[in-house]
This record gives sequence, C-alpha cells and structure tokens, in this order.
Amino acid sequence: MALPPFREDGWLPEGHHGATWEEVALRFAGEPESKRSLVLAGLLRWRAAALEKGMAGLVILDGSFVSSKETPGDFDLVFLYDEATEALLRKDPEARKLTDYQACRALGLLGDIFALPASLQRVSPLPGGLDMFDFDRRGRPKGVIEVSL
Amino acid sequence: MIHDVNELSASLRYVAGWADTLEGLRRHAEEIDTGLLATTSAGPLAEIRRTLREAREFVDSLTQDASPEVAVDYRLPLPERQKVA
Repeated sequence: MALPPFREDGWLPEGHHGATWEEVALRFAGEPESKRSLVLAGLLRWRAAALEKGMAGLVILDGSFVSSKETPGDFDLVFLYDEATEALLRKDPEARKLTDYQACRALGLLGDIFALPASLQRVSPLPGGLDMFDFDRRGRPKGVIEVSL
Repeated sequence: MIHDVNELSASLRYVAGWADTLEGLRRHAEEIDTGLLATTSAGPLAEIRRTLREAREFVDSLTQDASPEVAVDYRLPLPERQKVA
C-alpha cells in the first residue's frame, strides 16, 4: 500500500504507516544535493552499518524528515531491535555504538537514534511508552513510518 | 522552544513517554539480572513519573481552549497505536 499524501499541516495522517526502504528513499529523498538528500544519506549510512553488523528489528521514522518540510534538520528514528540483536549488542561494543544516541551524533549521521529492545514491550507494556512520537509538539496525533531494518 | 501551554502540555507528555520507557527498561534489566542500576533507579523513576503526571494534570487544567484531541483523561489507558497496513 502506497504511503498516503501529507495532511495540510505537513504531517502524514495519524497512524503507523508500513513502508519499504525503496518507498522511503523515493518519497523523502528531496532534490539532489539538497539538505534533505544529505539527511537521507545519513539515515541509509546508519542502516547499512547496522545491517553489516547483523542487526535486525523495526525502525520507526519520525520527525520533520517524514513530513513535507523542505529542509529537515535531521532524521529521528526509534530502532526496536530483536532478541538476537540484543544478544549481539552485549558482546559487540562496535555494534553498540550504532545504538548509542551520543555515539551516532558524533558520527555526523544527521539523525537522532533511539534504540530499544523490542522485548521491552513484553516485559512492560506501559501506556504512554513508545507512543510519544505519535503526536506533534502541540499534542495533535500524526503519522510515522514503520520499516523493517 | 515552548511557546504556550499547549506546547508545554505536549512536551510533558513527550517526557512522560520517555520516563515510562525508562521504567520499562529498568524492569527489563531487572529481569535479566538484579544489577545496581535496575534496583536503585526504581525510586527515582517512580518520583519522576509521579511528578510528571501531576505537572501534566496541572498544565492541562490551564488549557482553556483544549481541543478534544489534546485533552487527556489520565484515568484511562492510552489508546492502542493505530497500525496502518
């Protein structure tokens, strides 16, 4: 199913919209050599590094990068990694850097990366946890993108 | 930057989400091993979450023109995420 058009306020319609990486690149690339294209490049660079390490899980893309904003400052994502990746991260410090918010910023990826174990939701299904990206800064519901790493 | 009460309310909701997530992580860590962080952070996190809840209730009481999608009834569980195929 194709990604829906943006609302008048520039956000995607409310909900979690499934997508492929091809759809993400096509929809959010922007013009060649634009700031938006640089942000996308940073996102894809992080993804490639995570895949190379053998990580897996669900990525939720949020923020102005998945809006109609012409020049987003960065991308925002939540990476819900699976249990195999959780085990990997305990052993591999280099892999852990790709899930470390500060380390990723230091890499100049142009993004905010929040990595959490997917098993978290099984242990503690707290209301409010992990839905804070579903609302804009005025508290209005908005859409985000879900894509498998 | 926060410009008005509506944005403050949304910001508090955002922070409360992270506090809930941290509590979830604490419980997750406690399940794996009872490390120092898992046990000692329980109290501080409980205080943070309680205070945030009180702050949100106060701020939302100030929101005179709260529209239905902004006002939140804290007694009810938050709705399930709407998954779109």
